[in-house]
Order: sequence, then C-alpha cells, then structure tokens
Amino acid sequence: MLDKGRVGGECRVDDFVRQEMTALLPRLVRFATALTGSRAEGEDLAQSTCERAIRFLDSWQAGTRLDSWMFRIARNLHLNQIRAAKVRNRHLREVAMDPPADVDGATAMEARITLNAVRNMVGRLPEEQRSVLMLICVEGLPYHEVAQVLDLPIGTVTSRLARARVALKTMLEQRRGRDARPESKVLP
Amino acid sequence: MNDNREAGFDVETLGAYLDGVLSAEAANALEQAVSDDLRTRRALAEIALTDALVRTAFAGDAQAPVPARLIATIDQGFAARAGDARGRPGNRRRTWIAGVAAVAAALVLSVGLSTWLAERHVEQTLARIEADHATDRMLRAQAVSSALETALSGTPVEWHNPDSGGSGTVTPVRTFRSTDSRWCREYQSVTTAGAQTERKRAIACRQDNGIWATRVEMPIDS
Repeated sequence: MLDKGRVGGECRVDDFVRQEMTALLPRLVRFATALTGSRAEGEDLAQSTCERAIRFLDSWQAGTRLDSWMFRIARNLHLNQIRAAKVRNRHLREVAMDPPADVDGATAMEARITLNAVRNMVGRLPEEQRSVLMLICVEGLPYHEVAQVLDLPIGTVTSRLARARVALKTMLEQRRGRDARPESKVLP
Repeated sequence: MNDNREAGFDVETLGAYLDGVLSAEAANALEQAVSDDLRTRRALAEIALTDALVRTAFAGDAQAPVPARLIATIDQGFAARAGDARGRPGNRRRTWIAGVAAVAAALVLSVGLSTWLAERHVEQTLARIEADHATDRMLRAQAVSSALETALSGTPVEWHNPDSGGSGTVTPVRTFRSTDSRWCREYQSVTTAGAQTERKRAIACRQDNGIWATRVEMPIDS
C-alpha cells in the first residue's frame, strides 16, 4: 500500500533540499574552482559533487549543514582525482589560479591586476591551507564546521588558517616592496 | 622571559577575533590591546586587509552564472529519486522534515545573530584603526610642510598623535634649486608606530601654489 502522507512528506523534503542545493551551486563552484585552480574543472567537480550528494542523500545527517556536507564531498572527490593521477604530496599541491570572473565588467584595470595577484597567491598556498582559508574566509563557515568538512581537529584548522594568513601577508608585503622600489629611481 | 607575551597576540588569535570566534573575555582583552598598543593594531589591520583582499578576489566566482548543466544534474537527480521513492518503504526520513526545519531556523538565529554581534564590534575596532592611521598620515604631512617651509636644515620638526601613540620627526637636510628653478629640499623623516620605526629620505619641491610636493621618497635602513 502506498502511504500518501509519507510520500508527500518525502517529496516536500526532497523539494526543500533540491532548492537549497541549487541555491548553493554558485558557492560550490567557487570552492571547487579554488581547489582545482580552473573554472572549467571547478564546474566539473561541482557537477560530480551534486551527483554524488543526491545518490547518497540518505546518509546526509539531519541537523547538519548541507553546504558543509557538499564542500566535504567536493574536497574528497578532488583528493581522489589527484590520488588517481598519482600526484605526490597532494595535501601540499599548488594550483595556477584562473583570473577573477569579470562580473560587472567595470572593475578597474589596476584592481583586476591586484585581485588576480591575490588569486595566484591563494593558488600558491598548499591545498591543506587553501581549503581552510576558502571555507572560513570566503565561505564564512564556522571553525567547527570546517573541522568536520576536512576531518581535522579544530586546533589543526586554526593553525592552518593562521599559516595561510601569514603566508599571504608575506606574499603581499613582497609584492608591495616590488611595486614601491621603481619609484625611488625617478630623480628630479 | 615573557618575550612571547610582549610580542602581543599571535595571528591565530587576531584571526579568531576577526572571524568572531574569540570568547568575549579574550575579545575584550584584544580590544584593550588594540587601544593601547600600536603594533597589535597594525597586526590586526594587516590580517583584516589580507582577508578582505581574498574575499574580494573570489567574490566574482559566486556571482558568475552557473552552467545550466549543473542545475539540470540536480533536477534530474531528484527526479530519479522521486521515481525510486514510490517503490520503497518509508524509513527515518519523515523525522527529517521536523529536523531540517528546526536546523534551518536555528542556523538563521544562531549564525545570524552571533556574526552580527561579533561583526559590529570588529567593524568598530577596524574603523578606529583606520581613523588612527589617517590621523598619523595627516600629522606627518603637516610636519613635512611646516619643516620644509620654516625649519632650518638640520632642525627637526616633531609630530605626535596621542590617540594612536604614533610619532615622528621631519628634518630638512639641504636646500637647492631644481633645474626648473624651483626651491627644493631634501629631508629625512622618522615615523614610529608601536615598535616599528620607519626611516625615509625624500626630496620635495615647492610648487607655485606654495605646496611642497614630494617628488622622490625612499626608505633608508636604520
């Protein structure tokens, strides 16, 4: 016998999750792009993530965040792909980052150059630091969620985040130093 | 041997403050330090700047359109599930509805409220840092123009910002005529902010409007 109430309830939940998953896509693609370095690969990774998430939807724990769960799937898929490609030290892997998406087309040239440089700096971070930085700084996930996404103790999350911030700060200072130097050659 | 304490707050703590996850007690201590100690203030501002740059650099990625094939993947995946569900006995999923709704509500409340509260404080602190920086820059610029306009070579003009603890001197070194027959002066400046001291050597020339425009400026090693 078909239980109308149950099927009805299930459809409603599925509908809710489907909408939330669709709404989540832009952020999922962004995170996947930061993992792979390329928008195209990021979109592919996001697609496999959605397929996998829907297939294993029943194992998603009620009471946990859908975004965290999907970031986790995306990151694990990505690590599996790299493992299959036999990349050594995959946790430390760097990527060459695609330039920023030109959204309004009005971003000033200089700002674009700076932002592109920042993206490349983020790409130069080892994967283990880059994931933490993206999830906390860009996606705004709480530390404890990130610990679950990456299967790490919170202490490791905070120390990786600190290392990422220090590394970026240093790279920015070096860049500023490079920019400032030519000025001193221009004598009146 | 309390060098570590004197070195102030580590990046982990400063970052945690910006992320709004520091306990109220620790956040208060840090805000006090930001008021008292310029180095802490600078360190915090640098991390905030780094974070802001990263956030901006990746902001566009989540605004760019998502390819239709991704949305289709989700729709097809859920359609297939709905097909399966008809032949399958019910399981624990009914309790889901209540669970999901409760979690959604809790998230909106807890995340929304606590980030809002934390951010409000952080914003104020960052605004104060920025205001202090701006005041330091202005006082230094005033010292430069007053030194160049009135001070004899070798005589330092001092400035001090009690709010930030920043201070410095501007000392004209020599005076000369430029090839375009303007009055120019070479000067040295020392700027102290917290534990950091910055020394610069610069040349400025007096424009027709009476304003001294700095033409070259280079850092010198102490």
